[in-house]
Amino acid sequence: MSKQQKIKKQRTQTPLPPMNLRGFFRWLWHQLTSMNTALLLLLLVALAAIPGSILPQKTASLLRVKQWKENNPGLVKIFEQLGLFDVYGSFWFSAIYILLMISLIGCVIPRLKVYWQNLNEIPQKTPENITRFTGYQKINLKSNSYKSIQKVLKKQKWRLNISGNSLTAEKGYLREAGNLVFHASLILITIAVAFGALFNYRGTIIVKEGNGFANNLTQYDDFHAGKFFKEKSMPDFYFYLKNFEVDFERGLNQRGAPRGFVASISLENAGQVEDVDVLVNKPIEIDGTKIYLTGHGYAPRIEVKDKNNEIVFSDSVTFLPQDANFSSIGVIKIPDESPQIGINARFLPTAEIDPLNGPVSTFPGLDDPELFMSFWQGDLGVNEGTPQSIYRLETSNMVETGLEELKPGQTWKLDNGYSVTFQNVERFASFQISYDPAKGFALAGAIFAMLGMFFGLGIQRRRIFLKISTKSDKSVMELSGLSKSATHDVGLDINRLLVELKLAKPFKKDRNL
Amino acid sequence: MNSNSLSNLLVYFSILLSAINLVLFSVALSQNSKTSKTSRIAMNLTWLTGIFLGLALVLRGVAAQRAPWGNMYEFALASCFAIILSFLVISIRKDINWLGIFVIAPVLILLGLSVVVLYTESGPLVPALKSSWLLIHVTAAIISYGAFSINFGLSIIYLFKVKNKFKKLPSANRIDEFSYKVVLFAFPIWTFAVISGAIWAESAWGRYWGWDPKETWAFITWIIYAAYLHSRVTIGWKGKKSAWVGIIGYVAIIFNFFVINIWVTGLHSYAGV
Repeated sequence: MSKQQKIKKQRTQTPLPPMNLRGFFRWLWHQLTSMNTALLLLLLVALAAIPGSILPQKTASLLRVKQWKENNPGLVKIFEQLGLFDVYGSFWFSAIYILLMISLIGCVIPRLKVYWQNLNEIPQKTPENITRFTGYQKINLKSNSYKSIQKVLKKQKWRLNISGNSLTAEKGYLREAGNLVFHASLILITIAVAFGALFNYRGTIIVKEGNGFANNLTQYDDFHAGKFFKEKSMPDFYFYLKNFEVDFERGLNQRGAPRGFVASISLENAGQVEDVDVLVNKPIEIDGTKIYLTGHGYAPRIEVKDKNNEIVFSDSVTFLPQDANFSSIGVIKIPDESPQIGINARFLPTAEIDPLNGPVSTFPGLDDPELFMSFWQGDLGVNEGTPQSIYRLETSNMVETGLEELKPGQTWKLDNGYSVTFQNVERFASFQISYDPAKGFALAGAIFAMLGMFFGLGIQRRRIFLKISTKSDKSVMELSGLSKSATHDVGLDINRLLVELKLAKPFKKDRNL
Repeated sequence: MNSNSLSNLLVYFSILLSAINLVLFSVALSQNSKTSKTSRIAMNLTWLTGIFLGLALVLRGVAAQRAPWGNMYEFALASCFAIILSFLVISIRKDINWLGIFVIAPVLILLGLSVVVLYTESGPLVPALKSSWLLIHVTAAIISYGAFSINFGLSIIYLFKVKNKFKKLPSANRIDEFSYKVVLFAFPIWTFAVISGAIWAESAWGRYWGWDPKETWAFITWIIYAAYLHSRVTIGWKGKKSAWVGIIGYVAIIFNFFVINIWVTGLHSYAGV
C-alpha cells in the first residue's frame, strides 16, 4: 500500500464521536490537532487576512475609513458588523488564529514528549531482509574490516545499533529538534505579540515648531494602549521642537520627492537637558520608550480681528496634507464670536492655477505659498456635545460671507468688519511615541524560528542497514538504506561510506534532474 | 554617456536578447534531442543576458551611490536578475535548458513592464529607505522572489507534463521533487526577508508588525508556502496538488508586487511611478 493510500484509508476510518462527554472532547481535540485541520486553518488565516489589505483599516487610518464609508454608504452597516474595518482585531480573525495556535500546541507538545523520551534512542534492529531497501548491493570484503567500517560510520556521526554481524546506522535526529524549535518559536512569537498588546502603548502627536510636548496622556492627539497599561509607567520626559528641516528634490527627475527630514529637539529627561536630532529610521529611545519622526506638514499663522480691531484669533494652525505636493486643508473655529465664525482654508506651498482643476500645488516646498479661504458665519455646531473633527467645518447651519486668497503678510478685510491676516508659515512634525515591553521576546522567537527552520528543512533523517556474512575466509557485506524524506537520496550516503572505505568511486554528479 | 543611460542601454540589450532567447528556447523545446544546439546557444545568450542585467544594476547603484533597489523599477530589474541568476546557478549542476522558456517569458514581461510603466531615472533615496536594512531586507526578498519564480515555472511545466506534453523532459516525478527542493531553498530566505522587514519596521515606524498591506501579503505568501511544505511532508500531497499550491503562492507574490505597490496606499509606497 502506498503512503497516500494509507493516509486515505486512515482518513476514511476516522471514528465517529463517542457518545459520552469525555470521549467527545477527546475526539474534538484529536480533530483540532490533526494535520488536515491545521492546514485548513493555515488556509483560512491567509484568506481572512486579505480583506484587511484591501479595505481601509481603523488601526491604520481613521480618516481613510471615514472617506470609504462616505463613498459606500450602503455597505457600511454590514461591513461594520463584520468588523471589516478592523479585520485583525475582529472576533473571526482572532478565532482562526487562536484555533491555529491550539492546533500548533497540540501538535508540538506530544512530539516534544516523544523527542524527550527518545533523546538517546538507538536505531532499530536491522531487518531480516534488507534487499528491498534503496541502493542494495553486495561487496566482497577483506577479513577484519568490520571494525574499520564501524569506525568510519562513527566518524561520519551515525548512531549505531550493532548486533553481531549486522548493524543499523541512523542520522538526522536534529531534524525533529529543528522542527520542534521552529514551532515552539512560533508559539513564543504569538505570546510576545499578545503580551505586547496588553502592556504596550502607542500614540501620535503633532508638534509645531517652537512648541513643546510633555509625555502624558492629555498631550496626545491619538493614543492606543493595551488593557494592562498604566499611565504612571510612562517615562516623564519633555521635549521642545526647535527646528524642523525638510529637503525636497529640485531636479526634474523625481521632482518633489523628499530627500531629508531632521527634527531638532531639545529633550528634558530626569533633570537633564540635551539637544538631539530625530530622523526617519533613527528614533531616539528613553527608558524603553521610542520617539519616531513619522511625518510633517505646514502650520500657517493666522490672525483674525473684529470690527473694533481686537484680536479674536491668533495662532499657527495645523493643516492636514492631502497629496505629495502638500496641498493641505485646515479649519479655524471661533465659537466665542456671535454669530460664530468658521474659516475653511486650503494651503498651497507652491500655488499654481491649473486650467482644469483650479489652484493646485506643484511642489511640496515653500516656493510660492498661498492660502485660499472661505469665511463662514452662523452656528458651528460645537455646543451640542458631539465630537467634531478639527479638520472639518460643519457648514449646514452657516452662511458663507466671503472668499479670498492671501500670500504671506497680506490682510483680507471683509465687508462685515472682520479682517484676516496670513502672517507667515511655520512647520509641524508628527511623531509616534511607542512602547512594547515584549518585542525582545518576539525577536528572540524570530531568531530561534530561523535556526529551527534551518535544521528542520536542511537535515534529513536516513538509515543505512549493513550485514556481514563470512564463509570460510571470504567476507561479504550487504548494505542498503532508507530515507525518510522523498528528496533525499540515501544512495549518496552509502556511496560516501564506500568511498571512505575505498570500496567505490564517488558518484559522478548526475546532470539530469 | 553617464552610468544611468549606460544602464538603460544594457536593459534594452537584455530585452532584445531575451526576445531572441524566447524564440530559441521554444524552438529547442519542440526539437527532439534533449540538449540541442539551439538550446545550448540560448543558454549562452542567457548568460550574456544575466551579465548585462547584473551590470545594468551595478551601474544604477553607481549612479545613485547606493544599493540599486530603491524604487519599483530597480526592484523589478533586480528581480529579473535574480530569476535569471537562479536559473543559471541551477544550470551549472543540472541540465535544465528545457526550463528556459518558462524563465525567459516572465523575465521578458517584467523587463518590458519595467521599461514602459515603472521606469524612473536614477536618484537618491527617500528618507524612509535610508537604512542599512534596505540592503539586507530587500536582497533577501529579491533572492526568494527569484527562486519562487523558478518554482512557478516548474509547477507550470509539471501540469503540462502530466498531460503527456514535452515527452523528452525529465519525468513528472523528477520535476515535482525538484520544484519541492526549490521551495525548501526559497522558504527560509523568504522567512528571513519577513523577519528583517519586521526589525526594520520597528526602527522606522515604531512597531514590528502593523498589518500594512505589503506586510499582510508577505504574511499570506509565507502562509501559502508553509502550507505547501506541510502538505507535502505530513499528508503526502505532491504532484498536481503541490503544483497548484505553488502557483497560488506565486499569484500572491505578483499581487503583492504590482497591485499592492501601485494601487493600494500603505507605508510601502515607494513605487516612484
